Amino acid sequence: MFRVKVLRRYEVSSRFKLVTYLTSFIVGVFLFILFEVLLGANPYEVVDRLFVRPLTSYDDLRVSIRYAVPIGIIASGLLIVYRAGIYSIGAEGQMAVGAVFAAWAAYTLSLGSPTSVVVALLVGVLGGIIWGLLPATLKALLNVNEVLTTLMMNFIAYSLVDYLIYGPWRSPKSYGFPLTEPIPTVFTIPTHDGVPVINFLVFTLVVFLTYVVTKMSKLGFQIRAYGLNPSTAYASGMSFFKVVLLSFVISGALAGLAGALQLLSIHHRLGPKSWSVTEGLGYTAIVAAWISRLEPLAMIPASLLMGALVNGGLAIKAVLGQSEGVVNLMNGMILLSIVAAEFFINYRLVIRFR
Amino acid sequence: MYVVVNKTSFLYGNSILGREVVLSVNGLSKRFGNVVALRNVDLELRSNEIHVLLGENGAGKTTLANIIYGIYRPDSGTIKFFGKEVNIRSPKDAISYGIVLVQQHPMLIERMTVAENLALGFKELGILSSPKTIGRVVREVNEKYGISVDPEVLVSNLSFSEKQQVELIRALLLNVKLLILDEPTTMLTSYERRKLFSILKKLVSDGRSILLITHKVLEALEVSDWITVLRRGEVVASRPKDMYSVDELVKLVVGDDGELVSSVVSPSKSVEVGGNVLEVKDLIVLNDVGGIAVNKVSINVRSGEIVGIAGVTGNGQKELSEAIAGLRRVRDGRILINGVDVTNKGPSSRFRAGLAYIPEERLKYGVVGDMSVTENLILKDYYMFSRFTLLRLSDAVRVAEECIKTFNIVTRGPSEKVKALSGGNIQKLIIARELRLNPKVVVAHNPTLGLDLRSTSIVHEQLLNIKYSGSGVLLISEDLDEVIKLSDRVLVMYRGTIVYEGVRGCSREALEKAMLGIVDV
Amino acid sequence: MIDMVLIGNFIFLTLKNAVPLILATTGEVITERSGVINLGVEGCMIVAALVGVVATLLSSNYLVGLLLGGLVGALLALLHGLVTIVFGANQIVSGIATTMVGLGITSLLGRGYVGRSLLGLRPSPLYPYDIPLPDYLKPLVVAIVKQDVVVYISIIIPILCMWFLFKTKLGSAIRACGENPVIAESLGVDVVRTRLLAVGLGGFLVGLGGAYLSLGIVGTWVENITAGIGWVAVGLVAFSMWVPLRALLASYMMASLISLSYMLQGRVGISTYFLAMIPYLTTIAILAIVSVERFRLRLGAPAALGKPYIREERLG
Repeated sequence: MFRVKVLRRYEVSSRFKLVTYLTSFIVGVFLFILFEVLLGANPYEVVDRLFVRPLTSYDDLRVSIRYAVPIGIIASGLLIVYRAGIYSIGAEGQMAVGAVFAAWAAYTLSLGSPTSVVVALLVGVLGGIIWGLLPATLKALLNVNEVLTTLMMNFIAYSLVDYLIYGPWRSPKSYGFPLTEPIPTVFTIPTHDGVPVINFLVFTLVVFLTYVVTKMSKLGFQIRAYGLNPSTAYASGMSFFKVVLLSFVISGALAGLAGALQLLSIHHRLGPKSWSVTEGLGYTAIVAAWISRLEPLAMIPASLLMGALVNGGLAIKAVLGQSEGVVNLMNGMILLSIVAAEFFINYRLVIRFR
Repeated sequence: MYVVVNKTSFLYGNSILGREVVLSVNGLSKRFGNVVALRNVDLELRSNEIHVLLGENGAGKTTLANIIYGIYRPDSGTIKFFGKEVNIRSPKDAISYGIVLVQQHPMLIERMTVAENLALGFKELGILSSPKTIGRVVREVNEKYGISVDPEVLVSNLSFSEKQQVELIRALLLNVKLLILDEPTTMLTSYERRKLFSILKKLVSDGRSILLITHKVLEALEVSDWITVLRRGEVVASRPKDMYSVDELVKLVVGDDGELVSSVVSPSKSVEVGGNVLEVKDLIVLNDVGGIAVNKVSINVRSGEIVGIAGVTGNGQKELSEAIAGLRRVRDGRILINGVDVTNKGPSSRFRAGLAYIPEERLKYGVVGDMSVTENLILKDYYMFSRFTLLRLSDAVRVAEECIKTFNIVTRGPSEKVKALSGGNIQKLIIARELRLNPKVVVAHNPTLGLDLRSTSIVHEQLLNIKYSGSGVLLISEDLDEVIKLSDRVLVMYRGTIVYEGVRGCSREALEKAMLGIVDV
Repeated sequence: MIDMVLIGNFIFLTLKNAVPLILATTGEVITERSGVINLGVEGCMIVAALVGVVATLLSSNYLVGLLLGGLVGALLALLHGLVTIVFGANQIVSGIATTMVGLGITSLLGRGYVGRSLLGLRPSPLYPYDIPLPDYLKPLVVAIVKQDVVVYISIIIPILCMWFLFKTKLGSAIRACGENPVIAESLGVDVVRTRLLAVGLGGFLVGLGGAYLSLGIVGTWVENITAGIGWVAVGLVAFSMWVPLRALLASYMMASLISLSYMLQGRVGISTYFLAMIPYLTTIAILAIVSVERFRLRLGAPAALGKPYIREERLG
């Protein structure tokens, strides 16, 4: 038989890390493709729809960028909480509530443009922050597990949106589809060729700010300390309460912003499932955050990559007649592979045959 | 004239020869990187023998034991067990041969009973059988060897000595032939030590062998049949106990360069003692299971003095130290630093009031291993290195370089990750960081735990410097020698209360008794 | 007069709705006792729910459906186990990923089965006969007696698990892995193998719960059939302080709230959607409660929960 020994690695070069992560990413995607093939899909078709077109054809590239932007904005926020060791998965709910708040602003306020857009966006940011406050306070005060609380908030957000679109905000003109009225045009964000340029600018700004905060600010230092060794960080006098609350506020704000942007520029109305503003991007952003290894600069290619994959995944769904589960499955497989890759970075396997 | 024995071919008496050779180590060498841990070591152990491996900290005793137990592999040399050459690749291997190592700290699951712990490794017990059935075996063993452990008790409720006895029972259940004990008496009272030794003597009378590792000369003479002395990784003597005199033994252990810990640093200067820098009043602190760990303790430390708290670990020191540092809530009582009441306020209020903390668990509370030397040095006052709300690490690097030089921290540079540093250097870093803030009082909990001789004396020097500079030190340590050497006033903590107070020069015996709870009224 | 029929309905619903919670929570208790958090419970449950339906349709026997559901739940859990125990990966992220995989797979594979009728194949009441009792007693007794066998099994299982965890050597081994894997290993426990066993066993129970959800409660397959119930179970694990018997009680508590929210629909002026939030809000509330008593109740948590354990060879 063979004998496997596990040895710890002490020195790991960044190049090695990069190669390992890329490999694991490819493995994850490969597993996904494998699964599709098992479902009866043509592998070439899958690869083509998944990779080639979203990144090469001009039309598809635009759509990929359109997805990449909200993913990137949310992922920047997630990057901050994850670096602090806080595993918030509430981006989806915060995004939805951000959109809800922005919609409320669009329906109730009457302002001139461009103030209208700015106000709606700010209100959306507020919505995202508010949605994260409950899990944030529970964690900051009582160290309640944030994975479960943020997730619960997601489900509550779904119910909230359902309530609104089936109830008070239901559009009488929607012929059986539960949708809301479109928002007044004064609140919409213009797109060029389908790509909301403003969003893209916001995205770059967000990435830049994230970089500054994580690498150069005092908060970033505390976040890093808590993420690496929470007991020492606490013993050194760093405030757990402040770090938790601020990280949550930032990630909630960004998720809410992304939701508001999606509403104002692309969807223009709220609806369930496929018409809904979030399109599951809150979860995709989680994958993007982990792919980027929580490094702000890597966020840009990571978001683009995930945007392309979402685009490709949805294309597969349409072309091959599958459901949205495609995106979920892809996300899951990539995430699993990446997470398993950590092992190979920290340890070396030695297999001896006898 | 005594002859130093290295080889098996020594002729002496008849009570020792004729016994079977259980373990035979020949030419064993081991190095870790550039450090030579063992050089050409020969050792011979026979049945019915308590063989003591004597040497200072760092002499190589634990390394040798770890090699025999399969934790390390030797670079060269052979090991023969009952005459057959063996290749021990892991502790599992060692156990299969009948070799069991009992570590210094008991390796038992606290929240389970004795029986449950022992049942885990008991192959004869089926996976669905109840662990309680092992209780019968345990009681038999108790009877036979004079052990008194109730198998149904939770391990967390046992004393250190009782936990150690559980380890012995475990070894017996594993059919141990060679039992290795690593520094078993460091945390035992004299009574418990004598009890342990009597159990050991009964164990060997059945034909087993015991390899006992210690640095205490008197103990070695008390319990051994044969003593092997290790110094700097080499065997300098190996003879039956009676062939040593105490003085000779001490000299063999220590060598001729007189690098004995106790004589290097002796407090020389006298310092003026001022007002209270730390006051603890009627403190009550709970432990992790809700019981009372610190029971109405009052302590005060004045500037310019070192107050030492001696005591066997587990009598509330951890909870006391954590409470003072702000890491544990206080049930009742007050903590004042420089007159400022910081009771139940977080850690930052302590530093602001002038407290520095050198924690026992360095890696848990002291440093962030994945951060650089520089970052760790500014962990408490990073906000001082900012300009326009952004951190400027470049300023900090200069500070780091100074600290590295002043405190002699061995590292590749200010940007090296702290986890790569040795324990002693991590401790130096922690001290450097704490002292940077010019504290008025320093609380040091077991500051030299696990450090080699050189680092230990450096730390002692630092503590004395703190005192000379006019600050106060509260030294909480399980090492009585350390406490006696450094303190101006000594307190003894037992079962959560201060049971004894003495000043420099007080009777060591009184301290030891107090640590057992024996206090003359 | 108290409406006995209403109360009877309530009890009936509660006992039934509790089954997936009891099974999933108990299963996760076992897994977490070994030191591994499996956040993939939701994924395991939903996969088992689909497999349960499919297997029942193919074999015309719901017991086969339940068992295969359990098996599939165990398999998915073991995937998570492989990544976290053998590769030492971050347990939280791996669990989330596992759930994503589960949700994705079932969404894709389940399309053809949405709304498929399971007429005649669903679990049937153990006592099908009429009960001759007066009106004020009958609804109560019916509620208890006319349940299918799985409901009764779901009460027995936590009791069995209590015995297993606390009175057997294997149970002690599992708990030891959760308290201190290094010490457990030195005491002779194969931590990797034991943890995998705990994860697989827990996953099997979770799967059983998921399969019953589709077979016994809903009666067919719909997308997103679990709607977060797996996550609620994870929350209940902490609330029950990692003790199976308490998991039983906690599950009944949560199930009664869920039944209440169903029964209030349309009767009280609160919108359905807000009633639907009840289980999620309750979960948050109980998590908060558990954490307040943190010094006391935290003691229930396996000390090494969530920390990976790698058996490394020393380089020496």
